[in-house]
Amino acid sequence: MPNIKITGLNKIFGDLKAIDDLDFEVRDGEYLTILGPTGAGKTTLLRLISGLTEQTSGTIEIDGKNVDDLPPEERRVAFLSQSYSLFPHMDVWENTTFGPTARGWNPDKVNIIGREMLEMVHLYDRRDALPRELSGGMQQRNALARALSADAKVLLLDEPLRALDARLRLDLRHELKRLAKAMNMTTIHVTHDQEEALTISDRIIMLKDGKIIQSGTPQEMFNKPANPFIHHFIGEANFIEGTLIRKENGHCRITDKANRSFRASQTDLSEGANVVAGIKTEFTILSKEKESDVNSFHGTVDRKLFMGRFTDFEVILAEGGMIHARLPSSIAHKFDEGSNVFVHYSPERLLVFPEPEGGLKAELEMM
Amino acid sequence: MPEIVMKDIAKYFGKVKAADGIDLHIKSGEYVAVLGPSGCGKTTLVKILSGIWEPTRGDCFIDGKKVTGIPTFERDLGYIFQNIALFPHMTVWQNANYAPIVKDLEPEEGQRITQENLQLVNMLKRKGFKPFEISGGEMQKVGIARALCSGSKLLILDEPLSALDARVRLDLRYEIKRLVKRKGLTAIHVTHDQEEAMSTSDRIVLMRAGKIVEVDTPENLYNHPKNLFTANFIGEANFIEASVLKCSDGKCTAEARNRQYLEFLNPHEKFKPGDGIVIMVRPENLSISHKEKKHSLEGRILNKIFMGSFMRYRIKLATDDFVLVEVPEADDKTFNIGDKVNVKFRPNKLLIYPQPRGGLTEVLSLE
Repeated sequence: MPNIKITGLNKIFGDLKAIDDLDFEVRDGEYLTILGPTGAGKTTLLRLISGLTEQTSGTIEIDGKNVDDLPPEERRVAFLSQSYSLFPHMDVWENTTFGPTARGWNPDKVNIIGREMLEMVHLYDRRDALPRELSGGMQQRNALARALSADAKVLLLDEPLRALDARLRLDLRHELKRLAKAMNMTTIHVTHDQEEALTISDRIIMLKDGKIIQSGTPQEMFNKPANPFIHHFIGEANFIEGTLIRKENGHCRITDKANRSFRASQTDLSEGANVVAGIKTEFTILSKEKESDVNSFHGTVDRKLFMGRFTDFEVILAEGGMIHARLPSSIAHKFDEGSNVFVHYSPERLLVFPEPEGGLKAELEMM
Repeated sequence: MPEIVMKDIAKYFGKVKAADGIDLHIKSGEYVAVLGPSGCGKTTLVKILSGIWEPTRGDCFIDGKKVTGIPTFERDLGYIFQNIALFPHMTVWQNANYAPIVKDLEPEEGQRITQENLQLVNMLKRKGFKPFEISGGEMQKVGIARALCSGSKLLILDEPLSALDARVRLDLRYEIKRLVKRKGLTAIHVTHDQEEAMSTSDRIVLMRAGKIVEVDTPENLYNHPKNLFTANFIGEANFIEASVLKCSDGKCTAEARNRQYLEFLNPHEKFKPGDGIVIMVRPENLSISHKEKKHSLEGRILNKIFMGSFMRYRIKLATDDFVLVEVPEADDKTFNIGDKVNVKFRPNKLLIYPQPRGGLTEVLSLE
C-alpha cells in the first residue's frame, strides 16, 4: 500500500493559482477526502496526481518514488472522473477488462481480474449489458470496476457520486469505502458535499482557493473548525460579531454591537480583540421557558422546515436578527410557527475566532 | 392562483410507460414536490403539464380549463430548468427583463417588475453581469427571477438545484420556498432528493415506474408511510422480516429469524398469528445499551460513523439483520466497534407492514 507525498505543489493557469503551494501526505490505505466549494482546485489536484495535468512546480511522490516525469499509465493510479466515460459500444465485461487487455496481459489473468472486479461491484450477472442498458448506479459501479482492474494502488475519485440520485448516493458511498478498504487502496475522494465527507473519511482536507485551510478527522473538522468558513461549511452555524471583553476561567465574555453579552468557549485571543463567535445550528437550543441567565435570548419562530430526522427553525430574535436552529423532529412539535421561544447557546459550543479580514460576510461567501 | 387537475395521464414511449394513469389534484397556492428515483416519470409529468409533451392519454386542467393541445407559451406558467438556461450574451438584467419585453408590457411596468424580482432573489447588485461572470447558484437565482418576471402564478421547477454544490443547494431551497409563499404562487417542484422535497413542499407526490406510490405531507410520509417503498425512499429505515406468533390485548409477538422475538402494537387487530410481516423502524427511534433487555435484541457493533451532532452505529443483530442506530454524540465513548449491545425496539416506534408478495428487496429497489 503506497503513501502519497505532495511537496510545494503549484499549478498556475494564466493569472489563476489553481493550486497554491500545497504540502500534504496520504498514509498507506487511508481514505482521504478533499472537501471544498466549486473552484477550490479539487479536480486540478487529482489531475496533477494522476499525471493528466502537469504541475507548474513542486513534486509528487507515490510509494517513495518521484512520479513527476512518469506518464499517467505508469503511475499505477486509477482515476474515476465525474462522468463515467464508459465506452458506449462495449459491454460491462469489455469495459472492465479494457485496461488489462490493452496491456497485453495473458487472457487467463484478464479473466480472473475481470470476474473478481465485477463480483465485487455486484455486476457479474450483468456482464453482457451495454452502458445504456444500465441504471446510473450500475454505470458508476462499472466505471469503478474498470478503474480498479487497471492494477492501480491509488484510487482517485472525482465526485464519484455527483451524477446519482440522492437516495442511491447514500447507499453507494459506504459501498465505495468498503471496496477501497477491501482492496487495500489508498484513496483520495474529492467532493463538495460536507455530509459525504463527514461520513466516509478517515481524514478530511479542506481546500479553498487552491490552499489547504484545515485538515483533520471528521470529528476535529466538525468540533474544532479552524475558521468561521469551515464552521459554516461543515454543518451550519449562527454567528455573532463583537469584542472580546474578558477572559474567565475556561470561558470568555463577548459583547456584540447591540451590546448583548455572551459567554463563549476558551480562546487564545487577547482582551479587546474584535472577534466572531459561532455555534452550530444543531447545538442551538430552543426552549419554552428561560432556562438560564447566560446566552439566553427571546425570539419568535418565523418558519419551521421539516426534513425528516431533523426540523430546521428560523427564529427572529426580539433584539433583531435571525438565527437557525436544527432540532430532532421528535421534539419539534413543541414549537409552532409564531410561538415565543428562548434561544440558548451553550458556552462551550460557542466557538471564538479572530474577526476575518474583509469581514464575516465575505468570509462566508460561497457562491 | 391556479389549481391543477390531472386526469388519468399516460405517456408511452414505445413499450416504456413513462407515466401510467396519473390522477393528481394540486390546490391553488400549494407547493407540491414530485419525488422519485431516476426514470420514475416525474419529469414527464411536468413536461406534459407545461405542454412540452402531449400525453398519450388523459387531460390536464389549469384553473378548470382543459389545456390539452394548447401550446406551452399560452399556458401562462414559469418554468425553471435544471441546466440553468440563461441567454449567454445577455446581462442579468436583460435575462430577467426578457418576459416583460416579449409580453410587450409598457417599458416602465416591465422595469418595475424586473427590478422587484431581481431584488427578491438578491441579484439586483449584479444586474450588469453576464452569466459566465457569476456563480452557478447566482445563475439559478437569475433563472428564478426570470420565471417570476413572466408574471404567471404557476411555477414549474424541474430539478432546479441538481446542478449546484451541496451547500449552495441548502441555502437556495429555503429561498425558493420563501419566494413562492410570499408571492402566493402554485409551485410544482421535481426532484430526486428526498430532503429537498421534504423541506420545501406542502405535499409530496412520490412516484415509481410511471405511477404514483403515495401522496401526503412530508411529516406523514416520514412518520407514517403507507408502504415500504416510501419508508425506504424518504428518510432512512431499518427492516426486519418476521412472522406473527401470537396476539392479545392489542399487542402481538413477532418471531424474527433465529428465534428472536419482538413485541408490536396491533390496535385494530390488523394482523393475526401466522401472518408474514415486515417491521420498519427509523435509526433515530432505536437505542442501544449494555444492560437494558426489555424489547431488545442482541447485536454486535460493526461500524461507528460520526455524523456531527450524533453517532451512527451499524449493528448486526442476533436475527442476522443489519440495522442502523443513531444516538446523540454525547454518548459517544460508551459504545465501540466489536461491542455486544442490546438494541431496543420500543413497540410504539415500530411500523408493521404485511410481507410483500414479490419479496422485500424487490419492493424497495431503487434501480
